[in-house]
Formats: sequence, C-alpha cells, structure tokens
Amino acid sequence: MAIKLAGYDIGTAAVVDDQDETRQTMCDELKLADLDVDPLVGPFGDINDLLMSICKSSQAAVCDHRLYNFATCQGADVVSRLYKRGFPAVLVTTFSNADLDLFRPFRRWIPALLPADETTDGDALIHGWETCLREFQDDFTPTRRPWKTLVRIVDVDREQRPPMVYAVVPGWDSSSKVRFPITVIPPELQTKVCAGERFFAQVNKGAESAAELYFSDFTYPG
Amino acid sequence: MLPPSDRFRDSRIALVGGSVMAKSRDMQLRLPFPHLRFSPSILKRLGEELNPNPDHGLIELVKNSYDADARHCVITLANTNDVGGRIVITDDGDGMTREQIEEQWLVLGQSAKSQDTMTRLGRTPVGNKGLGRLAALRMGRKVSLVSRPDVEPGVEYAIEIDWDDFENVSVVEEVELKIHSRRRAKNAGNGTEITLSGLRCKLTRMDVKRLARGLLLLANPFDSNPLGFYPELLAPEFKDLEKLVQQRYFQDAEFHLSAEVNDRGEAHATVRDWKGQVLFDAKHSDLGTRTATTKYLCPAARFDLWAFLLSKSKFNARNSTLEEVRDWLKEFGGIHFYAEGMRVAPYGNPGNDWLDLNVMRAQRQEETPSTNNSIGRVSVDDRDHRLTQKTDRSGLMENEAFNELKRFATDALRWMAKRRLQEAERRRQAERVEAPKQVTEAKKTVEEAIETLPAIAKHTVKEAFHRYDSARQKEATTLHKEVLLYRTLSTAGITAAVFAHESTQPVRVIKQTASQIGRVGFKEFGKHFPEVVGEKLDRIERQAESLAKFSQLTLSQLDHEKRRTSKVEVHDVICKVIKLLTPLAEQRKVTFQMELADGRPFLRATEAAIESVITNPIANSLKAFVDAAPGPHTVCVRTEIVQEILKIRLLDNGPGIQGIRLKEIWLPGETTYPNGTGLGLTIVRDTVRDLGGTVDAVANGEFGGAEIIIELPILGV
Repeated sequence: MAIKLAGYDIGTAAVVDDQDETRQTMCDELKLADLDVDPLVGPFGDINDLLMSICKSSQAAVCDHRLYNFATCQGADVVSRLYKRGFPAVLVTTFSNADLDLFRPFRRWIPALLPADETTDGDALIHGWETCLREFQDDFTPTRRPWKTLVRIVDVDREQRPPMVYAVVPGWDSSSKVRFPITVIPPELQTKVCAGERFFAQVNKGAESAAELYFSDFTYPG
Repeated sequence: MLPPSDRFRDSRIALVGGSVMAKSRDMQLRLPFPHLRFSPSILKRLGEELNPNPDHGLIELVKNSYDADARHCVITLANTNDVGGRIVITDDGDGMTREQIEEQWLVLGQSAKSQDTMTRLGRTPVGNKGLGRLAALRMGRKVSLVSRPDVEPGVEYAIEIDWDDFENVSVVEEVELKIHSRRRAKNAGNGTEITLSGLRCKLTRMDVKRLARGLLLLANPFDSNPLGFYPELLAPEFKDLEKLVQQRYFQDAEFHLSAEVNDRGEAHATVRDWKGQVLFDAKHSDLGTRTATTKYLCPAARFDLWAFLLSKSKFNARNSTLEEVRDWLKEFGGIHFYAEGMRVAPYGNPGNDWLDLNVMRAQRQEETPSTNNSIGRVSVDDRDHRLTQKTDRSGLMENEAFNELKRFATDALRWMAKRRLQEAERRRQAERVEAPKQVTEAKKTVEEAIETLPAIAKHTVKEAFHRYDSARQKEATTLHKEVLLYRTLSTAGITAAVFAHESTQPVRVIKQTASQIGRVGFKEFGKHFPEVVGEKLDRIERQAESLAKFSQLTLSQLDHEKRRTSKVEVHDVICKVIKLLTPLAEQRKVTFQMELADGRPFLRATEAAIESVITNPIANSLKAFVDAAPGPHTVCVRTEIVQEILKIRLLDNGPGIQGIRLKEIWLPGETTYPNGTGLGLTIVRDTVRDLGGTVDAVANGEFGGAEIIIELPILGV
C-alpha cells in the first residue's frame, strides 16, 4: 500500500542498517505503517552503489548512521546525498553531543534526525519524509529555513581531530557559542578561520537548539 | 640658526584624527564638503578608556624614543603619588622637525612609521597607531613637548596641549595648537622631552613597579641588550628590579628548551640540561600531532624556556640560592613575547599564561613546567607584518599567524613534556627493579649493626626495628593495593563505557519491539490483548528506558568537551548532574531538592571537575540510603555565595557518616561498603584543592545524614 505525501507516492521504503535485529525491527515498524520494505543487506563498497540500491526500488529511506562492516560510508553522508537528489530520507541513530559535530557538515541536508533511543514509530518516519519533500519545494518549517547570516568565530581548537570551531551566531543567539568541525567551512576559507574573524553563511536562524543548527555556503566578507 | 621655513613659524594647527589639517589663520575650519569630524569625547574614548594601566601608554612613549634611534630614555616621576603630579620622558633620539610634529606626532590613529623602513640605526620601528601615545598624553591635564631635531642643529620646537581646551568645543579640530620654534640652550643635544603635568590619577606603588618591570623587560634582558637601548625609570623600584633582572639565573635552570621555526614553517627543538648537554632533539616531524608535512603558518620565531626545579637539594650544588631564583622568577617569570626585539605585553605578565602552561601541568602534573618555575620568551622575526597589535594594547590579534605561533610553542612544550615523561618512566622502571634490592641490602646492614650492639641493647633495638619494618611493609602493601585499586577502577570505567555504548542498540530494539507487540496485538486480537499483556509490555518499556538512561549517565561523562578548560557555570553543572541522576534516584524513591543561590556563579575549570565534585557525594548519599530506615529519602544541593566564594552543601537524611573516622573519609581506599572503592571523596578533595577551594564534612548535618561542604573561589556571578 502506498501513501501520498506532498504530492509524492511512497510505496516502498529502503531500510539501511548494519545490525540485523535493528534492521528487522525497523522493517516491522514500517510494515505496521502499511508500507512495503526493502531491507538492504550489505556490504556496499562504494557510496554510489548504496545510493543506487536505495533508489532502485524504493521511494523513501530510513538510514542508521554507523554502518560497520556494511558500507564504507556513514549514514549522515548517505541521507544528505539522497536529499540532494530529491529523495526523502530519515536518519535514525543513537548519538551523543560529540556525534552532533560529525553530523553538522551534513545537517543542512538532513531535515529529519531521529534519536534511536526513543521509540521511532511509523508516524515519526513519515513526518520526516514529509519534511524532506516540503523542503524540496522550498517549503521550510521555521526551524529549518536557511538565512544568510553573520557567523563570528570566537575560538578554534586545533588540538581536536578535526579542528573544532567555536562560533557565535548573533542572529540566532548572541550569548551562545556553537561548536562545529572546521570541515563545515570550505577548504579555501579554512586558513582564514581564527578568533575574531567573521563569515557569512546560510544558517537556520529559527532553530530551537544548537543541535538543530546547520551551516552551509560560507563566504568571507574580506 | 633658525630654519629657512619662517613661514611655518608659530603656525597654528589642530589635533586631528586620521589626517592633518594644517590651518593657517585665514583658512576655513570647515572643509567645503561634508566630512567626518570628531567630538572631543573621542579623545577620552581612545585615550583613557583604551588604557588599562598607566604603564601601557608610557611604554608606548618609550617605544617612540626607540623608533627615534634614542639610546637612552629616562622617565622621571615628580609627586606622582598624588593627583596633580608630573611625569617627564626624555630621550636622546633624533628629535622631530616642525613637519614631523605636525604630520606625525599630532596625528592620531595613524602611524607614519613604516615598518618596512629601518631607522638610521637599523632598527625596525615598533610603535604604531599612535593611540597608546594618546593614552599617555592624556594622563595629565597638560602635555608639553620640546623636540630638538638632529637635522636642524641649534633649533628646538615646543608645543603645549591643554586638554581642558577641548572641553568647550564641539569638535576636536576647533582647538588651535601652536608650535613655537626657538634657539636651543647651549649644550642641549638632540632628542625629545615630553612633560605630562597635572596628572589626573596618582601612580600607586604597583603602577610604578609594573612600569619598572615593563621597561626592564622591554629591550630583552635575556641577552646582553642587542638593541643598545636603555630605558630607565628614576625610581627606587626600578633600581631594585634592575639589579634583580641583571642577575640572570639562566645557568641554574634544570633544563633549557630551545625551539625554532623558520620562514618555511619547519621547526626543530632541543632540550639541554643545566650543564648544556643535549638531552633530546626533535625534528619537525617529531613535534606536534599533525602529519610531518604540516607546516606552521607563522613568521620565523624562536622559543626558549628555562625551567627550574625549585627544591633545596637541587640548589646545593649551584652558585645561587633557591630564594634568589624564586624572587627572580616571581618578578620576571612567565613566557614573554618579543617582536623585532621589543617586548609585546601582556604576554608573560603576572597571571598571563598565554601558552596554557599551568593547564598542561594540571593535565600532566609530572615533568611539565608551570609559570611559577620557569621563564621564557618567544622571539619573532615578523618582517612581513603577519602579527597585528590590538588597538587597546592588550596583545596581538588572534589571527592565523598568532595561533600557529602558539601551536608551534605548545607543540614544543608538549614534545618536551612527553620526552621527559618517557625518561621518568624509564627511571621509575629501573627504580622498581632496584628498590627491593636496596631495601634488602639496607635491612641487612641494619641487622648486622644490631648484632654488634651489647646484649641488653641488642634485644630492645631488634624488637624496635622489627616493629618499624612491619609498619613499613604494611605501608608498602597499602600503597600497592591503592595502585591496584586505581588500575581496577580504570579498567572498570573503560568497560562501563564500552557497555554503555554498545547497550544502546539492544535496548532500543527491546523498547521498540515491546511497543510493536502492543500495536500488532491490538490490531490482530482487539482490545482484549492490551488488557492481558499491556501492563507487562509497559514494564519492559519502562525498564528498557531506565537502562538507556543509565547508559547515558556513563556516556555523558566521557564527553570530550567536558575536559576542556573554560568558563563553567556551577549551577548549570549541578542541574545537569541532578537531571542525569534522576532516573536512578526515582528508581530508589529518592527525592532531589535544589536550593540554589540567585545568580549564575562561574569559574574557570573543566566541567568534568565540577561534575565529579557534585556527583561523588550524591552517589554516596544514594548508596547510604540502602542502610537507612524506610521513609522519604532526600538529597539536597544548596548553594550560597559569600563574597567571591561559592559554598556548596550536599545534604542527605540518611544514616550519616558512620563506621569510619571523619578525617579518614578523604583517604583513598577507605570505605564502609564491601564493594566500595573509597575513591569518590578522594577525587572530590583533590579536585576541590586543584580549584583552589576547600572541602569539609559533617557526620550528621542539618538533614540528619551526611553533609559535605565545598567552598570554591569563583570569578563572578
């Protein structure tokens, strides 16, 4: 049975998870939501192979982040690439504060990040896909809409791998520091990153927490 | 002889920001087009308010003397211990012509000195922006300048600025200033004299001392004054410090680190012992943690650090005494920064630990110098001007070049600490092998000596020695057990972290499957299904939820960010700890009560440190309730701010501290629980001490149970 979301039909959903039990649980969840499932079984040597397998027979995807011994890429990368192809995908994973840093470079293209330690039912997944589909039509929720805004660097910790940037986004919350890996900034601008420098970037200024913030399209005003 | 340009004589000019507007009598004050002008209040903003201490501005004037190729610069203080006093700065430099006074000295915010052009004596100009000069000039109500240029022998120029004149005008440019030219007195050499009179503030003893220290450190006292520049302050404080700085106890340092980075960003380092022998050598690839090919993107620089072992035994064989070196380090210790031979403040000032030496020492206590036992300098050859001074003279802009320079110095320090730690470890291994042999030999010697004693004494001494030996062995056994305990706990911690991490996935499957059974059952068997198994499924979900939260408790303590030293708001940490422990407390039917003082007290620490100080006593309270009589169990966290101290009380209504003497609760391994580690309160004590605070305990406090009282010095609320 198919469901219609934002004018788009979803009949089959791909499930990408390295753990057999978790994958099966997610498949059961989707079946309960009256969807057909395509549980993908790795390993996938190349991210493009995985993307092709997902898109071949499904119209949406649920993906775990850690794909040990399953694929040579990480779930956040997979979901963001699917988004860029206009394919709705949800990232369901257990994460700590440190993991949020890993997600940050992809967060602009991951509208739905569901914590795996909370029960993820079909409704939550469907809502995630719907958010993706709406964003494809430039219909953003207030917490996700990108705005060109000033990002002021307050510190750079080059001891961490990758180096971590601490920044203030006055347009979001002038009293909070936000942390993100330097890799969020394009390589050609990374040499300019130091305390006191200012950049412009696309940021979802309506985000309700630092965890939801994304940064993309950095420019250096000079 | 007077200069030929008589047309300039007694010309009137105005003090302007950014450009000079030469204004003859017939010239209109306003330009014939709209332009920016400055209110006199800008002088206060850029002068007094950008001048944290009097020495900042005065040292800027001394730097101007250096740029004018002076060899001597003397600062004289007259009645400066009261408001209204006078400061005179005299140098024997090249002096200024009328044009230079007009177009450079009187122009604020723009230095006419090009750092690309060397001075007559081959110096790289170091003064810049002219704002530091303004700060100094504004110290008095009046300033007068007399300058005798070397290019105009026999002539001197004088100008006086009365800052009160600026009070009654609307823009700075409205005040007319007059440069007088006159014949020099006989024997008056070239140079400049600036007099600041009617001082707005008095100079305290500390101000004078800071100025003396700043002047002495300005021209690099590490070497024998390669610049040939001798600033001097006519004050007793200066003489005392000058004597001290000249002592130069570098030869008494236990080791000397010297590291260099060239203009291609490649570095190397060497550590020598006090005899000058090379201990360790590092190539570029040995420094830092990055790949060997990563260069330091900073100007060429040299970093020297002399570290001292301030113990009496070390100084027995040295020429100087421990006290002398201590006094010297107290005044001049720290890592100073020199650009083009001139010192840049505040790096190396008391309390300024710009390379985080003390943090490094706290992280790796052993073999790492601190600001109290070392002196050093970073000397930079910044010909390309990649480093920029901040306008308020509070150091350099933290741009890429500066951060990379810091990284170079920090990498060198880390490398040295690592190598010294490896050496210490090797030494310890050898000692471990050697120690039992030495003990056996020493014991044998004592026993042989006892045998030579007369019969009556022999028995008594033998008994006494036996008792001593037993006590020593007991002590060694205790220490050994303590080491084993730490190792076991570390392993337990690592295992707990792995378990916490790996358990999240199965817990998630359990929760989700239970939820699915409920929904599938309802769909297939109708409402009868939840009536039969609903409660059991809920129980599975609740227990899985608790398991997930316990895992979260462990994982949250491993967050890297928590081990980063930064501003920590103590109340925030308390709230986070309570939130994390709540599922555990709920399971044990314990209520948390928070009575936090108004405000957000903060200090500089790691979040992990504060977390351990709060978590360990609460964990003890939760454990103590197991032995307590049934009833409502409460743990209260109460804070109170008394001046600059934050008092944290952790109270419970358990059975109190029993079965152990109060003073022994802080000792490692002391516990009243069979499976207890006895380390929780030791960690609390050590952490609080590291933070400069105190900790105390009451066996039966206000709530009837244990009460732990922690006092931490805070930086603000």
